[in-house]
Amino acid sequence: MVGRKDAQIWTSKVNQAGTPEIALPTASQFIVDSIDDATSFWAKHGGSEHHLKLGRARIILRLIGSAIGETVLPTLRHALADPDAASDAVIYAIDSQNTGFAGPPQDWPFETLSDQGRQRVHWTGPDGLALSSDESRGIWHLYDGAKQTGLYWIRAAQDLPFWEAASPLRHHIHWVSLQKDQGMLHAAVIAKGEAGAMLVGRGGSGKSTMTAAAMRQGWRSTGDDFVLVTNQPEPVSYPLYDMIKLSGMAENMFAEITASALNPQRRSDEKMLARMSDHANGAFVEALPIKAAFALTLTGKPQSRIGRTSSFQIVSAVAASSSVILRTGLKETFAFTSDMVRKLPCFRFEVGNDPLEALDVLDNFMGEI
Amino acid sequence: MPTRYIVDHINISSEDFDGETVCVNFATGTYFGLNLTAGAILDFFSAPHTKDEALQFITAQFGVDKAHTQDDIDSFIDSLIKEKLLLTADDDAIAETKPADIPDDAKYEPPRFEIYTDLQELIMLDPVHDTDPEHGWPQRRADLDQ
Repeated sequence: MVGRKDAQIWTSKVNQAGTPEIALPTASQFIVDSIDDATSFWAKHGGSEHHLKLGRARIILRLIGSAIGETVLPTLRHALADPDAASDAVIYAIDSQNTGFAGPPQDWPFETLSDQGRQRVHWTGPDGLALSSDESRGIWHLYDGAKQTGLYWIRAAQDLPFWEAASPLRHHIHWVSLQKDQGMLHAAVIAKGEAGAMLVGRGGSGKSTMTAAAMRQGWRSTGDDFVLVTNQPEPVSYPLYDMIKLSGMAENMFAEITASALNPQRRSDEKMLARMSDHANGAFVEALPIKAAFALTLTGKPQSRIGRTSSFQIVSAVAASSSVILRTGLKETFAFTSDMVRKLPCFRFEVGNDPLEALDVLDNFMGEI
Repeated sequence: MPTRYIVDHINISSEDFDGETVCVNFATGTYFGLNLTAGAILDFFSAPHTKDEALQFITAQFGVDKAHTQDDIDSFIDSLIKEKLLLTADDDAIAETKPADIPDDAKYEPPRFEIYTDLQELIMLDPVHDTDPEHGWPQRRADLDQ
């Protein structure tokens, strides 16, 4: 096995008293050492290098092993950029099973402090050290903000859950974005013309369905689920993943999208995944100014309605749902979202049972503001 | 010596929106909407202060007398403590009060906040909330073991 010299300590046993038999490194040491090992592994073995431009963040992505590219690249192809431009961070992506690089540990060898102990985070600020792991699936995100270098470390590409390929590197993109005064927010942005409507709400609130309706009607979009946002001088959204996810009735309603599902053999609990760029006919755009924010609720009624709401509703919806997915940088995301909301009129959008009717209501409303 | 209190800066963030304050406790997943007076009190406790100092501050800022406001403010501070927005400050903590950002024509209203707990499921995350702020996970915050 090549790679971490001390990989064995991460699977060390504890004695009968529950005490580790050897001294364990701190989380900070683990992050720094793992990234150093990946850097050395790249220097020795090489791989493929890709330059990504995601909003104002530029990332050099170094893939080690062929299998991991199929997970990471498809939804980020739109972001491939000029290799000569300066970068903000370097991320190494390694699939252990297919490269010989020591795999991520099966378990973090410290006490578990919650019943969610298989998913862990470490966070010392945007310019510090960060870690987000999902040990049950063998996915580790590590980042050294001071060195602007990270490691996306997976046990085996073929064992990844279906949604990982829909939003790869999300923690790294979040961390690099924070360093660039850019937010990675759980929201959709759609626009008929130049004025973008940001749609916010929890999963299942209708963001993707409204985006699918917008695509059918020839609107433009920077994303149905996650977008990158800059606030200066005014809020602007940028695309992150070239992907739309639909489930339930929306799969049947937008059959033209479902027909090109990337996961036609999906399980009943999997959402349908399709590339936005396959359907949007040039409407999956590089940037959209945001002119208003809408908190979505599904009413099941025949008619949709829009009315004023408080900043609180938008801030809490965006910051809370982004935080539960991104898991780190909670204060930074809350502050960023607040800055954005101060610059936007805020509305509640009660979406009825016909998304195309709801889109008409939104179209008329955006025309008035 | 009267007890001094301070905002739990590790777990609390707050933002002002034209006189209304949105506050979140990341440790409990609770969001709060505070009116102008309540937001001013919370902001005052960014540095360690006693209840009486808060009372003096609010009466001076809003030009109201203590007799009419003391019960409101005492009770509200107790609520902040109950919701874990305020912690007991260390004896050696230094109070550096920043100037209040209250409009000159602002009128006193009893401090109040609305509590939103329906976001708790979303925001309650991993052990990060219990961790030492300097060393991160898995170092547990010492105060939680007391």
